[in-house]
Order: sequence, then structure tokens, then C-alpha cells
Amino acid sequence: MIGSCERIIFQFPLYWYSAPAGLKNWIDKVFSRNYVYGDGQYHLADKEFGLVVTTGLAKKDFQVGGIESMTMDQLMAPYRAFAHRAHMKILPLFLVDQFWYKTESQQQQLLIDYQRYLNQDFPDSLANRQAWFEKRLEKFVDGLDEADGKIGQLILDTYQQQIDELDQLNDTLKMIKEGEDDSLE
Amino acid sequence: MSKENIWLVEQVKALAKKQNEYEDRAFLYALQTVIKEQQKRSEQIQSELDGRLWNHTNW
Repeated sequence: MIGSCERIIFQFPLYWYSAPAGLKNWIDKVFSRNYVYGDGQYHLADKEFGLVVTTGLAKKDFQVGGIESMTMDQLMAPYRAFAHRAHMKILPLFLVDQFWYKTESQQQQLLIDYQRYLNQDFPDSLANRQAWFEKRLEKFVDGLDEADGKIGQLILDTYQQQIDELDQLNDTLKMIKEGEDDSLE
Repeated sequence: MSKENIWLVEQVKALAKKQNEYEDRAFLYALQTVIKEQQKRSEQIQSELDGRLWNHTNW
């Protein structure tokens, strides 16, 4: 089952700066040395590796000079060492800190950011984000009733138009920059 | 923001208010963020284009 996945994410609440024992037991049982690299084949190679960590502590505490005095990235080093050894592509960490302190809008944004973390192409560029929203918007508009469907389709068309316009602007800028480089030679 | 961009955001906002599902409201809220970001990026690129095109040292 793991073999057929493109992206593997370990999601867990932070228990004393690590995952709870249940996940550790699972990792130790499932990922044998042979499977990861021992038999000369890297069965996890090129798969993407992500981490979703939830905590009641504040994000700002996890930095040099903060209460915890180290970053979350530093604390997650063992998981990254595993992913690195397995020749996986390591994604940025997705931190959910102090969920209940967040406003309604922040929680809504977090929900969608989390959904993007599961299946959006990385890196998290505007181009990739636009594409993810476009696909999702197409499905959403398909599911609307007739009354809302018309406005939904108009929204989708306008959104796609904006993507095209931005692409054209980017192409023009690229062309001009290349022209400047040529003239320097 | 351009008129089109403002219109787009308003339409998405109006559609969001009609949604019963929390997830759908959240999606449309996040979509507004991306639309605004597109507009910001467009303005930045246009400014950079203006700067480069009007840079007399390159004429």
C-alpha cells in the first residue's frame, strides 16, 4: 500500500518534542532496513515526505531565543534523517499550533492549506497554488445547482482568464530580462 | 485592485455566504486570498516591466 503512494505524511500531536509512541512503534515495525535501503533498492525513493505536527504551544516559542530555544525543524531531524536515507523528497513541515486560539477565518484558511498540503504539487508557488484552486473550483462549480451554476461558471472563467494574463505577463518579463542579458554580452 | 479583480472577489464572497457546508465556505474564503495574491503579483510584474522598459541605460 505504501508502495503505491506518491506522498507519505506523518501526522501527530507533539508529545515531548516527538511523535507519540504509537507512531514510533508503527515506523519501527513497518519500515524494515531491507525495505528502505538494505536490499540495494530504495523502495521509498522519490516519494514525497511530509510532516503535520499539532501542538498547543505557540509557533513563536520554537525558535532560537524562544521559550523552547529550538525550531520545530531542528526537533524533527530524526524523521528527516529517515526520509533522506530513503531518498525521499522532503516537504516543508506543516505546523498546526494553538488551533483553538485561531480566528474563524484563520481556521478556514488552515483547513484549505492542510488540504493543499495533502495533494498540491510542491513547491508552494503561486503557479502551483493557482492550479490546485482551479481544479478544485471546476469540481465545485460542477456540483452547484442551476441558479448558482451560472455565476459559478462565470467565476471560473474569470479566474482562468486571470491565470492566463499572469502567465503572459511572466513570459513578457522573462523575454525582456533575457534581452537585457543578451545585450550585456 | 483592478475592477475585474474586485468584482471577482465580491462574487466569490457572495457565493460563499450561500454555502451550507463549512468546507465549501472555507474553500471560497481561501480562493479570495489567491485571487488577491494574483492581483498583487500582476501589479508587481507590471511595475517591474515599466521599470525595465523605461530604463534608458538599456536603450
